[in-house]
Amino acid sequence: MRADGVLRIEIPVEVPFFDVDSMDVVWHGHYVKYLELARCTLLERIGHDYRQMKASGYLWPIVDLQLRYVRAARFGQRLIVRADLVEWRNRLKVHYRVLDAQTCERITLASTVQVAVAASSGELQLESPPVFVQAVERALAAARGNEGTPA
Amino acid sequence: MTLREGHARDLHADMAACMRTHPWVTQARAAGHPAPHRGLAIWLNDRGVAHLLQHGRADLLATFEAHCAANEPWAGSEPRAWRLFDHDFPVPGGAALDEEIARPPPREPWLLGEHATPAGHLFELKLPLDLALFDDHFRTAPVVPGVMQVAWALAFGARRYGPMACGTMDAVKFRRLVRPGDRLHLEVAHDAGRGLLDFTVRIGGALCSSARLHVVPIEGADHAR
Repeated sequence: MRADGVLRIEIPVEVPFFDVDSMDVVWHGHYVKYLELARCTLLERIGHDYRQMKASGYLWPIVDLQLRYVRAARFGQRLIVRADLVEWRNRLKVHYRVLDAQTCERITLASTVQVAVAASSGELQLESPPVFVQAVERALAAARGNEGTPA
Repeated sequence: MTLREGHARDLHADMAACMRTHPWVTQARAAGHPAPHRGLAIWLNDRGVAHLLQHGRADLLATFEAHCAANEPWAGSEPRAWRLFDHDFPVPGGAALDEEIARPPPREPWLLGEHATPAGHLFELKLPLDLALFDDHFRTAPVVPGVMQVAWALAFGARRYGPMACGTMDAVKFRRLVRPGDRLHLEVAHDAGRGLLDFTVRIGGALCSSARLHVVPIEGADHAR
């Protein structure tokens, strides 16, 4: 069970020919690219994308990646890749679901964990940098405002 | 004062009165007027704290919102800040209450006391119910991440021994959960010659966590002993 997050985005992906292996299904390693596309969109929604991360002086390497393959995706299949922000104060944890766009059947479940590392020293940050936490808080406040729900 | 401003103030005062009728609440106060930040301060009893521990802040606040909406249908229309306290935090009055409500959720434990021990130095800490890190770890079961216990050992150790950076750590053990409202004893012991900072976190004598951090002093940083 992968929990829903506080912020969610979805992107469409149509499986390209060059992602399919000789068994006519998406090679397992290619799903990581789909997660990356969704994660980039989520970070843009937060207002702190990879360019802003780098400019702020912190790198955010992936330190953990988990994937569970439920069904195979095939060439030309239209997918929805959903990314949920789950943790942000000490690490950036994102949960993913890859779904068939028409039936919403689950194709793949996944999660990634990233931690902040000072670009200048390589030092691991035990807490996420304030610039990132503040960006998340702004995005959460904006999301609450859009929903008309209390803070 | 405009009519709308007066109306908004009354909404919050009425919400606080409504919250005082909730069975998990011992006290509820609203920011006075003209406070720049609208909000409510809620003091939870043991049942309220138990619900927070078992279900998380979001679920607790949803329950409170529903209570207000059921009793005052107009009261849920305006965004507001909620601050949560337990019996360890006395109810402030006047401007102090307004300041407390306006303050962002705390990022560190409250320091209740400290003293030297045979091995090192002990800090008595209290975890606020609405410590910011409980926002995401975890939303339905608030628990202090192990990495934050390491961060607090470094931060409070720095008060005594000066700023230091941690390169590696050994013998890391996490034995018991640390949760909102807990009173902690954080003991740190610094061996400058070997570059070690040992720490333990205990609740009522029970060990929650311990580790040996390999540290180096941060050159040029000031600190007050």
